[in-house]
Amino acid sequence: MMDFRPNEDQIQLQKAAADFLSKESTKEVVFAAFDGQDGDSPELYKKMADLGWLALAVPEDKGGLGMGLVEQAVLLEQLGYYAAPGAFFTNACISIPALLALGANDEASAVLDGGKKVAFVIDPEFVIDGHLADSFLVTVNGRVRLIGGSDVEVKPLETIDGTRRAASVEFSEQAGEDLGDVHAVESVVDAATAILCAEMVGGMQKSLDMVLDYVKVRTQFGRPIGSFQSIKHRLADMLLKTEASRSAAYYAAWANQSGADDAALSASVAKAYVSDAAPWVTGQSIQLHGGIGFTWEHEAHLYFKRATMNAALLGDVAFHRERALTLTTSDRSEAASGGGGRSRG
Amino acid sequence: MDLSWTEEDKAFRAEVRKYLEANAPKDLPEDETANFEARRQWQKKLAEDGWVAIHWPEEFGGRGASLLQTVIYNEEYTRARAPLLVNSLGVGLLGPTLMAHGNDEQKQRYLKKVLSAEEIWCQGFSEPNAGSDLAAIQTRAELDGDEYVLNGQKIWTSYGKYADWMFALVRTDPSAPKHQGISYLLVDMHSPGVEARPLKEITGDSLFAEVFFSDVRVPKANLVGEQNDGWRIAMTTLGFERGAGGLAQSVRLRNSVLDLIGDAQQVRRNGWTAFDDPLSRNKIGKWLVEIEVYRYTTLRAISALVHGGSPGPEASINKIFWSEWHKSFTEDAMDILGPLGRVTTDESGNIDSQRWVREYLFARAGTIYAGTSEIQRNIIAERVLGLPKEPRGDTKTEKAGER
Ligand SMILES: Cc1cc2nc3c(=O)[nH]c(=O)nc-3n(C[C@H](O)[C@H](O)[C@H](O)COP(=O)(O)OP(=O)(O)OC[C@H]3O[C@@H](n4cnc5c(N)ncnc54)[C@H](O)[C@@H]3O)c2cc1C
Repeated sequence: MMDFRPNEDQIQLQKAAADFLSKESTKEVVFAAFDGQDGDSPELYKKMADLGWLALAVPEDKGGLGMGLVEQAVLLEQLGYYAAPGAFFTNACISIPALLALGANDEASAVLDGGKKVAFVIDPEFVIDGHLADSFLVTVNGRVRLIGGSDVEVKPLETIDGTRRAASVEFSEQAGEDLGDVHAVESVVDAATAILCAEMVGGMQKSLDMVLDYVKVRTQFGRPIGSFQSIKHRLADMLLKTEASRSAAYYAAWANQSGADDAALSASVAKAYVSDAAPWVTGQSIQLHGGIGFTWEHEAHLYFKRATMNAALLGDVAFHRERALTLTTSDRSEAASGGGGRSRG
Repeated sequence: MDLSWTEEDKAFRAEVRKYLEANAPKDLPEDETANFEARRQWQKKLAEDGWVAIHWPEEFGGRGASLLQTVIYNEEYTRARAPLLVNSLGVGLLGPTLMAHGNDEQKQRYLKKVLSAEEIWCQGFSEPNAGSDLAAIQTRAELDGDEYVLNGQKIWTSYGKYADWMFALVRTDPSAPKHQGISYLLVDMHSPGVEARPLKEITGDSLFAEVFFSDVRVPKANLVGEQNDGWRIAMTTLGFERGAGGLAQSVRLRNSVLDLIGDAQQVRRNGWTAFDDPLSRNKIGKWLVEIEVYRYTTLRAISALVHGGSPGPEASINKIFWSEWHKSFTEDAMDILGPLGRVTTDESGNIDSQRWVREYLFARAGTIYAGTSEIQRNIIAERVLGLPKEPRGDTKTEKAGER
């Protein structure tokens, strides 16, 4: 039955996540990670693993909580809202489902209890969270291999977003263990793309909330700045883009969860749209805060940087526009490999 | 959250699709008047078969269909590229308003003929001095015995020259505060003293008109609701105007992108077709992506309605989305099609450039009618985000009266 609203369980999950993260992913925690050695917060990661969140969308018979992608989107939206640092997204949303899709159940269970971290390599020059990984999923000639960290040369990369860093990696094509055909993980990447959009929506919502509070109290020219029409209209546009992004992220999460015909298309639609909208909305929050928005102490830049980082992950705007067009105009199997010679990166 | 259609939904969709495939006219005459007549005939046929306004109760000619069925119907109607309803203002705006605020005689008298297009309706709201600030209307209606006497002028009245009836906002109490002296009247356009003069639009067509009233006599029975309660009733109408047909709109606009994809393959630029040009592909991809997002957004709005919500000020978000989308999309379409896309001579080659020129120009109306984009942003900022109201130059105490 057509119902876009979150159900009772999803609302409970959202509340529980917001409650936990408001206490555990505080401004202090996020800034400490940003300024720290590796952008991580091992305590936060451990606590989330203990709550079973890494295994939220993993079937119960594989040691998970048996929820779906929509629930994962709900959770990641909250992680985005609280700018949670660390490798949660890549492990929960890519590596664990990829290992399970490849039948590597033991390896997956080592990750989902928080003990080990695995990075999923699309482009060896830029592996998100690669600097925190114990092992690596790589693709060689259409086959996926799992390589232990000791067989990989890892060069940590600092990025614009201190809480979401990367590594470049080098490895021998014979290293590690063959896990299976790459086709097994294609839908995993689409699902993760949808969930990443939900995380971006969280950051947009937080930026909007912060600036909305601010323009109601900040006074200039004897009026709250929120009474100036150019500011009101900007906020209206921010709301429009945030809500449209939310619709897109959740639609894509649902379509991928239910294996709908447009699962791949909806993931590309969401990523193309949100990657455009999120840097804009979070950037407007800097602008409308004025000088204080340009200070390091203010949180506005955290969200702008995260949005900018995420916009380039799992395919950027141009990649996904092209893929959406190709999926719409040509045979699906042909389109699935992506068009236009752009890489998903 | 569950976005799947039930088996019943799917069966209903199949039924609608079958009916439209068998019955919807394919080619309509180009000539404006002939085109209008052909669409009137089509609506008559649709009404006879019970396929106009299916969500209306059966006693008024609908099928009492659920909201979701209505959405499915509208989506299929647009997918089949069936002609726009000739009496769309009657069906979309007047009908729901009468059902909410009209008395029994009015419902019996008007609604069926709205559906059959036997009586065409126009909307008499805007005036030369009352557009965004709709509550500033000045057209006077003075009670004289059992009749109102109308004097004044309406403008931008779509279908004004074809209409048999107008639902109009008139001022019945000039001494009351702006919003409190307005009434909602049904005016017979064939009455003595009514004159509709067509206005020519930037497209070259004459879709709208200015309408003059001099001593037009309107029976008191044609008052909808209470005298001086017209503003509240008008707000109902505007709610329908803004909420109407989101999903169908997304299908219509997506059809335009598909058409552009077709035409871009016919146009050569820099030694390859425009469709192979990476920059053009990026643009087409953008509009495809955004209209798909619009579809998801309307599904979300519909699901809220189906489950008991009401179309609140959030409807303004959708109005801005599609109208601004359409304007920017057609700008890019013109870019992509190049000089040939600007030719307005008949049969100028492989692409229907006349259509693109018309769509490009007409898209500029979408951000003006039914409340301009600026007004919609004011509504979102004040009524959704709770930001302080603009200081007003006309009155200090009244509620915001923007359309
Ligand atoms: C194709 C078409 C068909 C139409 N059909 C009908 C019809 O059938 N019946 C009918 O009654 N009307 C109809 N209209 C009229 C339409 O509703 C009005 O044009 C519209 O409400 C704007 O009013 P206006 O033209 O007086 O412009 P104005 O209100 O004078 O606006 C001029 C400009 O000022 C801006 N502006 C005004 N107030 C504000 C504010 N508070 N803050 C910021 N900016 C502001 C507007 O956004 C606009 O850009 C139609 C219009 C068009 C284009």
